[in-house]
Amino acid sequence: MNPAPSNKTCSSHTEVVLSEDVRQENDTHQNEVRHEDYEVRIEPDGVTIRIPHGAQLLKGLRDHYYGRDGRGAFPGCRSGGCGYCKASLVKGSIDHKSTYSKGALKDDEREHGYILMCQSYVLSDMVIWLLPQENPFLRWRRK
Amino acid sequence: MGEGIMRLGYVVSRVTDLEAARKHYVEVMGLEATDRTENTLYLKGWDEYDHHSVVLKQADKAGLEKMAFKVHTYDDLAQLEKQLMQYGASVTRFSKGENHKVGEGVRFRLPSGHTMELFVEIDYKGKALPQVNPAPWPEGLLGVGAPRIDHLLITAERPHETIEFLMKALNFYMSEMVVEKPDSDFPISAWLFRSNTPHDIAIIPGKDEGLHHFAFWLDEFTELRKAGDVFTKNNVPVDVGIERHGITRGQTIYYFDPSGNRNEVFTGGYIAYPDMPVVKWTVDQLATGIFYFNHREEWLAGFTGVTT
Ligand code: FES
Ligand SMILES: [Fe+2]
Repeated sequence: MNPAPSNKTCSSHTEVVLSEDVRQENDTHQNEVRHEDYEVRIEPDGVTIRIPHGAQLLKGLRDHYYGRDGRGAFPGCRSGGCGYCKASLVKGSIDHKSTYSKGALKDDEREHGYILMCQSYVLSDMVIWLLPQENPFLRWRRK
Repeated sequence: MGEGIMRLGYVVSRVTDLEAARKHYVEVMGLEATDRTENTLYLKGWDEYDHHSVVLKQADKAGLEKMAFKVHTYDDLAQLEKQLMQYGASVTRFSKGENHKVGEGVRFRLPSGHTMELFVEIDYKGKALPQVNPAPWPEGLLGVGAPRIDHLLITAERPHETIEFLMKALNFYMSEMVVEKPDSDFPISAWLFRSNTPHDIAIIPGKDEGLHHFAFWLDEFTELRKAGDVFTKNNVPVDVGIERHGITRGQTIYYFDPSGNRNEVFTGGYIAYPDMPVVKWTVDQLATGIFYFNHREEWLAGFTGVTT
């Protein structure tokens, strides 16, 4: 490990030590054509956000969609368990991880174009359709 | 009838990646792995002396496989078995060893579909401290260093049926409930206990067989702060917290395990006695009941709706 940076030993050249994952990711990027961000259109809202190549789809939505413009924060598990991030992939291509709960996304749902956004990594421009969520307490609320 | 159910013995939780789960529960939560087979891991907290309180099972789905409550004596077990059958539950006996390190007991389903078991004996493992002249805490705890499991919260399509079942067939006591109006006695949700804490199990509306969370006890409020530090250091997805529950008066952080099962670190709350008057929360004040500080209505749908 390199020592902690200090003002006294400041030199003209700064080296940042990256973790193995980040380093590999950067190498891959350098060997490829540098990708622009992709456009992801979120329906039924019709909102478009930009997500970098290879980034997690849910992270893109948590950074640029949820918790903004009066929308609530994203409450799901981010870990492939709860199915709250389930969406329909209308158009576009993703890398979908294979270790997730089949209770969150059943095999036949996957075959019919549904994805878990927390397991999806963006590889092109895309269009997704978010599913309505129900509040289990709602039927008890009478105003 | 003797003393009946003593406490929550253990939960069996399904995980989609056993090695990731081991890393999380052992290295981040600080539980001790007491045994393992190819697809199952047995764990306990440092202050627990029974062989395990959490069992992790490799599966293709997340969620709760079953919960097991420890009963005082075999006479109590027989009595509870009788009550369950009188209530109309279909009860099966299981023999010693059918559950690793656990003696004989009974298995049945709650009206919500969850599998519950009662047992009397489980192998003694011992605390991480000696029984003679112990220090207050052991050396070498990892991460959060949770001392023990505390409770679980399940979801049900018709919570009142499961609440009534637990109270009538298994003699659970109610500490708090959610009702529509102050004069209503119909429980939309309830917090039930057999130990001396405000809940060993709670039931809220949601899908049948759903797991909302199971919780680890921490001894002090400042340990929640440390747990939060440990979670962020280890990229654990934190759900909500630090917060205060109106219901139970406990303090909390919610977070997710690597398979997306929600867990909680919990401290505080009051001592519950069987004769305590039941506390009611009207459903319009539910947000304060759940999170007393940030009682934001819009959090409720997500918080209650996310389950495994
Ligand atoms: S957020 Fe829970 S499955 Fe993706
Ligand atoms: Fe809890």
